Amino acid sequence: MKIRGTAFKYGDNVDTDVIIPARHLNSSDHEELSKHCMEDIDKCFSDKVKEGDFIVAGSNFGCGSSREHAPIAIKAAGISCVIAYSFARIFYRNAINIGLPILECKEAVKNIDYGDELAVDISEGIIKNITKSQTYYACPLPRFIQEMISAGGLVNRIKTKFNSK
Amino acid sequence: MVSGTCWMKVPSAIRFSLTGKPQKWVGGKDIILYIIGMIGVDGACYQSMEFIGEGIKHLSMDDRFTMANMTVEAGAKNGIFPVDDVTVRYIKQRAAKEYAVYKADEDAEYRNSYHIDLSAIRPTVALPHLPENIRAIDEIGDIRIDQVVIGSCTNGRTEDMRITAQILKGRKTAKGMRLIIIPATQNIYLTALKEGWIETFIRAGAVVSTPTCGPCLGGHMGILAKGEKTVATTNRNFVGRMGHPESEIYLASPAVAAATAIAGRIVNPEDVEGGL
Repeated sequence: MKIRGTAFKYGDNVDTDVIIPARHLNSSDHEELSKHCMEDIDKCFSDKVKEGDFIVAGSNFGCGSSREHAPIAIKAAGISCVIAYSFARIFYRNAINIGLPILECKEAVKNIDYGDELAVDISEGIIKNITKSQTYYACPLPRFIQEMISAGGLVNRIKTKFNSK
Repeated sequence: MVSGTCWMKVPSAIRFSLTGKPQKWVGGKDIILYIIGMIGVDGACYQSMEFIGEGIKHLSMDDRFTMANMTVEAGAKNGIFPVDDVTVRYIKQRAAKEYAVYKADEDAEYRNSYHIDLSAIRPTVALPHLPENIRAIDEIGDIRIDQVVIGSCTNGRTEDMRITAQILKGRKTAKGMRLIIIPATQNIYLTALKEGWIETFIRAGAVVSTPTCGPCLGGHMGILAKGEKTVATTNRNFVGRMGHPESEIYLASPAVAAATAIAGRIVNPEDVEGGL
């Protein structure tokens, strides 16, 4: 799965309250959530983001409240993969369970700037920075996790599995 | 549940050896804030935090629940305590089935080990906008507060209600202060009612709510306006968490929160006891 897009770069400890503020949690409509994604740290995010783009962030991305709306809003906004130094545990599980690809890569986070053009092979963990002509290598997620993400998350994978029986 | 399987990333573990006896008015909240201050909000990212040592015998189940609850604020997968007499007494009152006791292996490997002297921890407050941003109560200075919230999954338990009642008894909240008290469950609410604590709260000037996450995540009942400051016994104080992005959240124990509601500024419960 190779994807090309622009990097939206943020710092450490991006919490779920800024990814999707609670004042917008009265909707579970994915499109509606995506309109408010990141608005408390980056007002322009939802206007600028295009299908396939990337969020690149520091350590502990997605810390705070266990709200699956956070990865849902990111995914619905068109983000193809979140690349971070590390992920907070609940966000990590939620992202995989709703089918949002994630990669941990220290080198990528260190070198990528806001607006850099990236080409990412998510299944192999290869991150190419086209703007800077650099390549970074992340440890790819295990196959069965990748399959779950490709299937659109845990619930969809189980549905597919049961329907095919 | 449908498939009978669950995927799991196995965490590595960090060990916290607790010794000594906590000072008066120091409880689980102060201890876990102190620890988060020490290791940072990603200090235990995807790891298991294990608390051991002779110090834990001084911690009630409610203290331990608060600490386990807030290990998430250090990025941890979980927070666990060994089973001791305190745990067994708790289980016996509640377990409807046979229970099994699990222990850490003698030769378990830990990525890190820390020693913490509980007797040295002061009532502790986390300043905006991260739970790691801690100060001992003695170093807080003069911070005026508009609203105090006592409750939530972190500190809305029976012991929290008892401590709150102990401090509020016969006292009044500061002028202009909004004090919101939210027992975490219907059972805790009933206990507070039977013990007369609810009356104490109301006479002190508090409003008491049915159990709800409510203000903790800026849901309802106590949403902060621009520039307002709150002391909350909740678990996190990120930007805009409880309302306006320019409001401020200070995390503290129920004892510090109740004392603050009386004083109108963040204070040590001892100050309220001694008369302001």
